[in-house]
Amino acid sequence: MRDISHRGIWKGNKTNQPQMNTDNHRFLKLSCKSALINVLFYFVLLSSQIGFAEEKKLYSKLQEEGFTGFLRTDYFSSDKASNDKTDFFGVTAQLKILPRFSDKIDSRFEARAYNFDLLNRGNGNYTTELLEGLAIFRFENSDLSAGKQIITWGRADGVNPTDNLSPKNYTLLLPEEGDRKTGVASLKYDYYFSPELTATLFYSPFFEPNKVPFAFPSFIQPTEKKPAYNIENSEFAFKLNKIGSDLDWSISYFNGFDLTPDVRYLGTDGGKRLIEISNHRIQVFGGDFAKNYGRYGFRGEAAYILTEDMDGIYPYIKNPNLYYIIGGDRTFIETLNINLQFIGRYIFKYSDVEKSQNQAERAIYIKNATFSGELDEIQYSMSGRLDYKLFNETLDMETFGVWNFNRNDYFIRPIVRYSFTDSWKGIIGGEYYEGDENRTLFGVLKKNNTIFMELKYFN
Amino acid sequence: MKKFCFAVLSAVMLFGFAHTSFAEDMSPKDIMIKNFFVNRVKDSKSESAMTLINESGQKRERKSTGVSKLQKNGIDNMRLIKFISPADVKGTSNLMIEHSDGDDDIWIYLPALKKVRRLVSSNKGDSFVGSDFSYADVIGYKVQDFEHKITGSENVDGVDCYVIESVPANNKVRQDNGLSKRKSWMRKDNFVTVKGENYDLSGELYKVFKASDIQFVDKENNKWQPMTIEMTNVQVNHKTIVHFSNYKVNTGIDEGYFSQRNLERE
Repeated sequence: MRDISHRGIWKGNKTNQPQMNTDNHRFLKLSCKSALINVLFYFVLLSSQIGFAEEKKLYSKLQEEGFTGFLRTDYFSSDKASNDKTDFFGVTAQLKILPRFSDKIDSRFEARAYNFDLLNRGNGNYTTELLEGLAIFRFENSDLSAGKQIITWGRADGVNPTDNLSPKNYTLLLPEEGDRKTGVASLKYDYYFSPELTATLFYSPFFEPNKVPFAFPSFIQPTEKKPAYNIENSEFAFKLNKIGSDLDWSISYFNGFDLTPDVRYLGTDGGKRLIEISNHRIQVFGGDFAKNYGRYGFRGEAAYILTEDMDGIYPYIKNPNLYYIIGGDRTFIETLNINLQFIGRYIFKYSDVEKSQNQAERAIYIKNATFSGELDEIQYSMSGRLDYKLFNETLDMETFGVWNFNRNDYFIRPIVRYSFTDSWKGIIGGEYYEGDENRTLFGVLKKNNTIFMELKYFN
Repeated sequence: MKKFCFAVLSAVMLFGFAHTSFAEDMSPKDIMIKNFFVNRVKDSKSESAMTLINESGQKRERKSTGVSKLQKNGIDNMRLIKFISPADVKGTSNLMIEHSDGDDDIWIYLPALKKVRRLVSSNKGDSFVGSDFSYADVIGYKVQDFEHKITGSENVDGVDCYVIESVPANNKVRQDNGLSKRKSWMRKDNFVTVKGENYDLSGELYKVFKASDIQFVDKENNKWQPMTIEMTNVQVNHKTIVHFSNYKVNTGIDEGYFSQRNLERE
């Protein structure tokens, strides 16, 4: 099995084939990568317990360490990079292990190897990704987590303006929302005043941005400018979280970089328009709550976001804004849950990018404002999630959607999951974006309309 | 006023429990109170294997660990259940804090989203992680939420049992639990429920409960616990069987264990 996946790597990555005599460093890097891919595929297959006694023994030992793994094959009718490419067949191996060194030290490792284009049309490389790799030091009333970790903040459903710590990959060709997040190398310290009240401190000098489906025509030449890993570019955050007594709430503060990049127009060079994609500093004062009233569960989340452009002068930096969500859910007929949320956003010091004098500049900044949600001063949206579970949760039918009132664009994402057995699951669904292709967020993403299918084996 | 009523109720329940242990002619409420307390140990740790069996006999299995502790009022339980298999639910945890004087607190931790979500605890009739047991079955039915009457005596597996019919005390309880009636068979010797029937809102038989392998887990405090429980949804012919193992009581678990910290600990 190792040989097959090894051959697959080099087959799928011809442009990256190692040249021993010219680039030893590159070869070493690729060898490590291929080794990691092999290890991932090997261990996930090992989990199927196909093999000899020694392998079964090893698998049993791994299970004691909290090992889980899965293999999945996916089909997407379109990718999520806003281009015209169609029909992507992919394979993903993922493993997670939770070694516990003592009562005081835990750890968590999760890695993924994938190739989303087995048909190999130029971008079909195998990729490995460490999603999490951290050690957790347990003290009497506190925990210190050090390493690459996924941190999720915010109690609203699907739209979380206070969730600014871990990046998301919106171009990933995997069907579940939970697949998008990757960890950020950081330190997190949780102090527990009581079982209900927790204070969290976060620090990271290693900012990683979201991967977003920007697509530019050939006459535009983008340059990505990511903040360097250094002390000056440190991010820090604080959160006070309370649960219990019929009301959960938190207040938070974040000082770091905006996960969603901004686009800046730099000028022209030989007929090409030059743009820079970069992330700017923001400060976020946030809060959220969850409370039940009878058979309804209510949730709210709000963030006051300060940016580097407090006076609204620069069209390539987001303006300060207030972003809030309020909504609730109710379960009907035992397993049909309906969750509706109202989403509002107010842009301070708003200026209309359409009024920009320079035509080239205007086109870029309209796109920037579209992705940043700054086309309108006041924006209202609504999100809805219908989740219907049947046959003792063997079949799960879910639809999530967002509708922007201002420009009448919307996104809808139906997904059906069926568990054939405890180890085999099938998923089928789609993503449908609709709206003005030049002036709305979901219209811009129209090219990402897709149908997807997945078969997943896990153990 | 709510707290006062709760204090009076607690006193009545505790007094009733002590008083009725010697009474022969117990009221149905007395029996239900004894039944309510019979498996409420100071604290417990256990492992469980939950098998879900569908109409065609196909089985799915969930393994979990459970920890419980009685709160200081001696009535309400705190429970933390962590799923350890299969892989798609591994790491999912449920924290349930009972409140006799109000709605319970229930949270679920979803490892795939790295998120804790508060559940609407009024939906007591909702399925517990896809099983045939509801959250109310797991947490326990509050005695005061139902009106009880003894409908007879029956022998179940060679043991004499009270047969008690319980109807929701009001429409809210009826709607929250999704039940019009419960029928329970309780052993006369130790007040453990060995059989039960739940009826849906239209009055049709909905689920049938059975308990077996009943063990005397705390002799000092007269506590019993069935090591196997089974719930069958007769309307769709789906069954869930739970086997408890390594059941330990009075382990001295700290109250602080029932926290978000441990809920999120995978």
